[in-house]
Amino acid sequence: MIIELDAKHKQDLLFLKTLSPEIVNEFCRIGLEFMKSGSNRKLYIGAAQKLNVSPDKIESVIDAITHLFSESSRYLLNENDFNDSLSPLKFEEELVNQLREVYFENRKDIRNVLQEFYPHLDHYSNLEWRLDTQVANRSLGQSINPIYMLKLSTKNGNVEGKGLKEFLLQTDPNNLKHITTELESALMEAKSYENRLIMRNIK
Amino acid sequence: MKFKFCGELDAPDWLLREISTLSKITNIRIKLLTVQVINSLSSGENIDFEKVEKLVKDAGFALSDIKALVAAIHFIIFNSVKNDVDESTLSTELQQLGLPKEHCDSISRAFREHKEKLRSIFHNSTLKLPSLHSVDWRVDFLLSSNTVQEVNSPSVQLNFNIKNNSNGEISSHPFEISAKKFNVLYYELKGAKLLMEQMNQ
Repeated sequence: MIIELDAKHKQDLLFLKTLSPEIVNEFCRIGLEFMKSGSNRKLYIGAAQKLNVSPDKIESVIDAITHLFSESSRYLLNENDFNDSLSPLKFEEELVNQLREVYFENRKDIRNVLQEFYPHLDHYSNLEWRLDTQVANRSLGQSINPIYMLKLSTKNGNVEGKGLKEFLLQTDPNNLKHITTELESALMEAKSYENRLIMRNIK
Repeated sequence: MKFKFCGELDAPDWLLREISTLSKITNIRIKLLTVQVINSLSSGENIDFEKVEKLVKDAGFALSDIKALVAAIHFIIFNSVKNDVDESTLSTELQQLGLPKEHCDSISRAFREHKEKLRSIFHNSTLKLPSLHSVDWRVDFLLSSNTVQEVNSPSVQLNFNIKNNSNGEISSHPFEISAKKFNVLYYELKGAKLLMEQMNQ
């Protein structure tokens, strides 16, 4: 599929026509850094002075390049699609080739960075359990009461040791049986007819 | 089929599939892999992937295959220690799953050497709630306060140091308790101690 570039985007990218290949390379590198760590105003001001344009123009060009790369990586464009998306701009062969090379080299990294924008929920890390029998408590002398104690650990993010939460829970065996039946039926749901159709279509 | 080393349950499907991959490696490598898994279980750290990769690199396995192999051996060793099976039962059951005899023997031999050590390690790492580390106490006699001229009553101050087992932190919980309430506490705790001693016999 081809990306539609809107008018403002085209205007910003047209500025690339006026630059030499090394500067285009430099801009691409700045754009990739921008995606990974955020913008660096000092670089824009320095580049603006060298090329004799305003820093805002530089910033909009960098934004345009970044947007082009992120949209291309998002849809995983192949060579022809990339060339066709850039064709309304009437760039020279060399420029298109250069941009395409940078895109292909870095699209995996870009996709990884884009993935991080998904909201981070806690996810399962570890579950420990033990089975106890309560024989007496303060109010009741002789009783036999089996109890399961669970320690659920959840993790948020990939960093070790940060965002680790532990929950100490307690349940009787009947409740545990209910929980396992519910979870098993949730797993079986993935094998149902409609869900298998969906899986086949995604692949 | 019910297997003792799985705790009298069926062996999981993925394990049955991995048996064929396990049969492809040579005997020596199985023994070294098993030793690696046992070492990681005893020290509690994650298994050292570089060493494992070095062991199986010539056989041309992909990364996912190596991970599956390690998971299969880990499952076998972990559950055999947990269910306290003896070496010969483990060997027989692995043969029933389809693993060649020499592989079963090398796994069972490594297992037998370290079984007792692993069992005591697993016993110590059972789930524990935060536990009492130490108790400090002090008995005071209150003389008077700004509200009452003569108070004249004893009071006990206790400080429980609680150790949290997952991160080893010790938190302290000091509190004060009047003589009467302390008597009730003491009486109840004596009753609980008596019950514990009865259970022990």
